[in-house]
Amino acid sequence: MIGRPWTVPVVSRTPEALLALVGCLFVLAAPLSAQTNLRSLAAVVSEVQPKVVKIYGSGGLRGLEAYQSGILVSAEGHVVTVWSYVLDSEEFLFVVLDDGQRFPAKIVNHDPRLEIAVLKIDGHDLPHFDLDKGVSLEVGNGVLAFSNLFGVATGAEPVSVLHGRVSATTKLTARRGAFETVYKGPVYVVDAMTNNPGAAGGALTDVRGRLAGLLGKELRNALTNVWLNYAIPVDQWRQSVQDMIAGKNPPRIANASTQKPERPHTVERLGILLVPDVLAKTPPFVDQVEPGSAAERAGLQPDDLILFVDGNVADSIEALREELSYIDRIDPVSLTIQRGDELLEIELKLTPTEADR
Amino acid sequence: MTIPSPDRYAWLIVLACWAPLLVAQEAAPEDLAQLEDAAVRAAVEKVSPSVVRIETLGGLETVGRRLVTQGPTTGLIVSAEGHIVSSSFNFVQMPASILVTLPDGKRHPAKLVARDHSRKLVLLKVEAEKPLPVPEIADRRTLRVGQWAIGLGRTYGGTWPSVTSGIVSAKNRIWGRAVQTDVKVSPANYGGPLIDLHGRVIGILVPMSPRQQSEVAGAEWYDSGIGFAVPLSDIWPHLDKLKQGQDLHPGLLGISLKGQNIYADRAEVAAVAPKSPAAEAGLKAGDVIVEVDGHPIDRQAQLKHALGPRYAGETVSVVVERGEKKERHTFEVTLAKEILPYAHAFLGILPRLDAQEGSVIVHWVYPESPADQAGLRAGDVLLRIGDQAVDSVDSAMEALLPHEPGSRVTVVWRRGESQQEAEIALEAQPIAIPDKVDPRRLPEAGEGEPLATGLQECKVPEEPNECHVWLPESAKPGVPHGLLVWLGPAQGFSKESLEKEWGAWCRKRHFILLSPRPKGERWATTDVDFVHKAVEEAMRRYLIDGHRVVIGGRQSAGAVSFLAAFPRRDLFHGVVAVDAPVPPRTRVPANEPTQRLMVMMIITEQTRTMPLVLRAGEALSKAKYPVTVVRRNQTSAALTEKQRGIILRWADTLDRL
Repeated sequence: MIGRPWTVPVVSRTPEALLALVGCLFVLAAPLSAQTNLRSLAAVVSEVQPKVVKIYGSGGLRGLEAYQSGILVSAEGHVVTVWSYVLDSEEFLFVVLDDGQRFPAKIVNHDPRLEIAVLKIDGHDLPHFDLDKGVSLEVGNGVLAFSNLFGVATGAEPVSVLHGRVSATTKLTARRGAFETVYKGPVYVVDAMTNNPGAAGGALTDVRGRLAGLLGKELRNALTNVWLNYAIPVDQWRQSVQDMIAGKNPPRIANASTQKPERPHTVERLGILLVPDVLAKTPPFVDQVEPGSAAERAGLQPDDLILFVDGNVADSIEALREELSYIDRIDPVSLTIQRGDELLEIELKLTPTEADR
Repeated sequence: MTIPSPDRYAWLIVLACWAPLLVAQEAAPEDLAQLEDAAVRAAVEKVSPSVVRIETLGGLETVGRRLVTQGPTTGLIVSAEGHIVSSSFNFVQMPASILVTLPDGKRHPAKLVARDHSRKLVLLKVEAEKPLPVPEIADRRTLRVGQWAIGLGRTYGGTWPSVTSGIVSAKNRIWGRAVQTDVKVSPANYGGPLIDLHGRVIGILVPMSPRQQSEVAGAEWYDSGIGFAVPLSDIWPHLDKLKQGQDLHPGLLGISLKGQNIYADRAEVAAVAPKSPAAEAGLKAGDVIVEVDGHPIDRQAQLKHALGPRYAGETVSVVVERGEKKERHTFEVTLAKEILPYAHAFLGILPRLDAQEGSVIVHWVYPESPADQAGLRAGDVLLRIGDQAVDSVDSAMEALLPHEPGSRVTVVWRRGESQQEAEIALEAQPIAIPDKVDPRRLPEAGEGEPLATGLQECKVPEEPNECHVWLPESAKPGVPHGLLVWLGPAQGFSKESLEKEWGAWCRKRHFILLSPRPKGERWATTDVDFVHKAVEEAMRRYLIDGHRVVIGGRQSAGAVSFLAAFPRRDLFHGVVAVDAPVPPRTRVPANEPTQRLMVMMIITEQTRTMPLVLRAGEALSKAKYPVTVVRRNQTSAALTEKQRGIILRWADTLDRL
């Protein structure tokens, strides 16, 4: 666990002790170090702010925000930001530092898998994050988010800072269509309202100001219908950025795991007859099982309710068909079914003849 | 930051010796933040095994116009045998299957055992093989505003629950049912616990709104810094009931109060619903409630606060002051989950509009009504109903409130120089429209700028809707008129036809006509706000007789009329719905004694909507709203001249006694 540097035995595993200690620091240490503590967060913030830049580009004509945020990752002026319409034209692309200096920016390269880009401005001795010193975070850790959300900061104003906590680490899952994004990897979900217009490309740091992630584009979770506040962990893009700076081209292929096989499974081929799909969201109850089929061999029975296909929710006949279309016929299919009050796991496998027929 | 409670001071003193050492040796300036992290994680770790992930499969996709949660949601284990509490928000879609992932990582099918309708919770049960971990509860009484609070959820897989931290913002919200917090509450953690820094459960996170009771109300405040948690210590005593499969309901007393301002007016009983808990216990109209369960009550809002957390079946002690001597009486009242609907009583009198201030004069007596049988006649002056003196239409309505239809009441009136009285058996409000009611005379005009009569535009700031108002020539300063709000068509509105169709009838019955139109192609829920604003604006500009404010329209306009009228029965007292049902999923509110609402339904035979409309009519009648049904047999959906005449004749009798 990060955040337990002390080794004094009295601070054992009990939360009471931790609490009392926190209390102590506050009550007792107040005259000693409360001042330093307050200053220290301020010091962290003022140390980080010059490393986060305001980016202005295209978009205004289409009624979209023509600005976003970026982070400096080299003394010579390499800026990491998200790949978006703001970067559409280099002619109108500018980076403004916290002290108001304004630089035209060139696009070095972009990585379509991560939807990030590296820009270059003509600077030297610039304050920046050292990518090799990035940190990873755990759920519950306090964080700071630096960005130019809503374009509040202009000219010589440093970017805005938000304070929050890592709420969860999760994946932007691909198949379920929960999020419309190309990047499908792990993210930090934050409990502060970090991802607002203009915030994309900003920095997520720990409470010591060490880089932990890059704030992503605005994203609405299609399952819960709520906006997501998140950052992409630095481990996920460090290599790609370092490659781009070194002049290598990132791979251009789309994420293979989201592609459908040419010969997928179907309900019929497995020998499952479902109840009629009359309503939207009809639950996939089994009506009949074809004798001799893979379904019968696996022990599927009429009235079973299919809940999951390979661990993915199939809460309607439509969703079941969709899930099966991702699985190649030569692979087994594992189904989670409800039979009365029981949950069962079964595996269906086609014989080579069944698969070829 | 948590200030340690007194019993922990001892701890502090012991630790005090260590702390300076720690600070000196180890603590870099950032360490306070790191200690915070560690304390938060330790608290989360303690409760985490009791926080379960819930998946619901199948069921409705949308409830109302809102897309409901389809992803995994959260619940909290409350018994070792497998009882789990969650937010009813997660179950509005009535799922076909509920699966709970227990700490062992396995999914178990769950049954929905019971619902708490007051606090919007559900109780689930899974069959657990091993005893499950039950978390420690934080006593609600020890909560302090400003103390740390952490919200947990299970929407995003992984071994750790999702964590959001903040403080307790208020201890007593939503009429005493919830504590408020600034942690980020959303579908990602509805049903999960709000815990303190000791890892004790403060409450269950739920969407709530102080103004609405539906399951999804309050969800629009997600992640806003305004979140609510139902204290677990409040539910605990009722858990056994829920475990037995009994739903919990808000406890009702069965009274209505005088006055409109709950923050200013004292809790004076206007009417006691027959056979209600209040009636059975002996409360009477005119009593002023001054204490509930030892809490002093000065204003109506305090009464709402005292009763808000109570469930049906619980007994409360109510102290009232009665009569001029303000004698105090104490009643033990057992709250009910339902109150028999209130029906307004009817005497059979239409009062004059031009009576002098301080008097109620009979304009017309309904044939064969109780008043007719008692011998009342046009021109008689009402003096007293029951034990209340009558000096205005308002006071006469108020005097009738405590009397049910069927009960007998003594009415005193003056005819010429003589005073007469009779004991009259009241009836229910009539649903038939009298064949002929002579139009009433208006009082003399008062002082003030003359009004611009005829048709005018009437826009509401910040609303895109079109709106017109039409005033008859009789509209003068100081002369109250009725108000007919007729929701007009989106297309094909013409100023000429508005006056042509309605002008003559409004002129005859002294009504001002307001014609709002929808934002989109047809009337929708989203237009309701605008309608309210437009009516309020009209009532500011003109002198309107509050008893005769009617809203109506055809088809979708009629349905929206119900939506507009139900929550604002202080404003509207009549609804005219032409071939329009009450919109689906709209609850017919309980008939409110102090806010009369009458309904007129015009129904075309053999139309597709007819069965729906008839069912709505039955639901309204069952709730004791006087529902007047006019059936018509025609091919055109439009209103005829005669039907418009009937509407105005009916609207002109809404101030009947």
